[in-house]
Amino acid sequence: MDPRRIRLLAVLIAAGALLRCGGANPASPSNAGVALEGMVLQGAGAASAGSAGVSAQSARGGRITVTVQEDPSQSTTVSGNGTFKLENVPVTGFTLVFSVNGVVLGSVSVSPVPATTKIKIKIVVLVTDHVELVDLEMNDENEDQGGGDQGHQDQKTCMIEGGRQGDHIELEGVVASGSSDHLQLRVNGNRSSGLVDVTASGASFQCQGDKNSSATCKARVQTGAKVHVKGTLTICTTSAASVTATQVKVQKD
Amino acid sequence: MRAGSRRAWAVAFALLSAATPSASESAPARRPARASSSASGAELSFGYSYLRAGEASLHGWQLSGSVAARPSVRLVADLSGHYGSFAGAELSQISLLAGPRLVGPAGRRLRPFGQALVGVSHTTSKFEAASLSSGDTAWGGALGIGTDYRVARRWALRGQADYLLLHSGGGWDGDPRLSLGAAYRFGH
Repeated sequence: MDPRRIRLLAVLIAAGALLRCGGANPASPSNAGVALEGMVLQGAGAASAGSAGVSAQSARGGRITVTVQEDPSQSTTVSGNGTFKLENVPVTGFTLVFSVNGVVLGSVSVSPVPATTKIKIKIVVLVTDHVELVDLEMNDENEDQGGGDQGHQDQKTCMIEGGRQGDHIELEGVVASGSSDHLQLRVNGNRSSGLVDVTASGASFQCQGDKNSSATCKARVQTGAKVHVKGTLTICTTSAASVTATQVKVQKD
Repeated sequence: MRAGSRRAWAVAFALLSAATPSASESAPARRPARASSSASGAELSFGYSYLRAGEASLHGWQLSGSVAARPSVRLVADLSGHYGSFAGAELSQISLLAGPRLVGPAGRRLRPFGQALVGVSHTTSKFEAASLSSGDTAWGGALGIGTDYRVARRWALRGQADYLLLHSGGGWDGDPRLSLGAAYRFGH
């Protein structure tokens, strides 16, 4: 075999590998915003008929692009196995818009995240005929690296009893204002000293006695409705709390 | 990445063309007798493998077997499995590839090789907390180089680097793969 052939092949492969690794360096530091790791489960679960006006077939017609609505320069293409990464999403809250060939499939909003530059958000999104937030997790890397008191301090300064920024939370209460996309929740009992902001644009909705229609169920989310919210406590201070919901159950009156 | 993928595929086809024996390559008078006999047996290798799949880092195994087609060309079947997690979801990827491998002269302790393979890869993503899973099969190939370091008459240590190019969902992915293992040669 001609040794020159092997040499040429070696150079080409090495160049390809370097290009690939450099373009997706997971450890590259970011000075502003937070890092986000995402996973798209495409076509998982049973798809209901076109509630968002975009068929599942169109979602399969090309690669999904994820764009930060507040900063469209922050955009990436979801890889074949569903993984994607964004390095600098705004800490003031953001909306991820999922599209294929320019056709918007849906969006997921995340309420403001704790103002730390080392937080990492993990998000799992289900894409069928619409986009649905399945899970949201926030890991404070500062805390992971030995800030053991952080959690204790958060508990003391959070207006929700037992609440802690970045943790999963379930709340039950009455809608004080707003609609299905964004609402303020008056939590039952004395668990919260104030109203909790709930961002639910990417959440799944279930209504007792109305299992089939998500749209009908969303319409029932109005002032006075009793709801059970599952999600992530993204912000919690003594005066304000924000939850990004993954599931909202509307209870019978 | 798409433009880069097209270039890489052009290189893949060039390699496949190069692997097709030409009139001068098939002339037996140009091959040393020792190299020819040593390269004639089947070969099996197994080892650890790392795959950068999309944004995820996956770890697993690689199993490959090959038979000689020409003194410097072997036909390879390559099976690999890689596993890991990303953003709270569990990922697994099984790939089956086959194609020609160009190998350096036999009889030396260090024996480099280059290969161009085609095949399929199946990815499964699971999110246990919500009992959700999805799967996808991609087709494509891999360009790779490596070397065997002979440690005994039939045994060699093998290091290998591949660049997988896989097509699914209307787009291409380029995923580097690194493997370390042992190779066993049957026959004479």
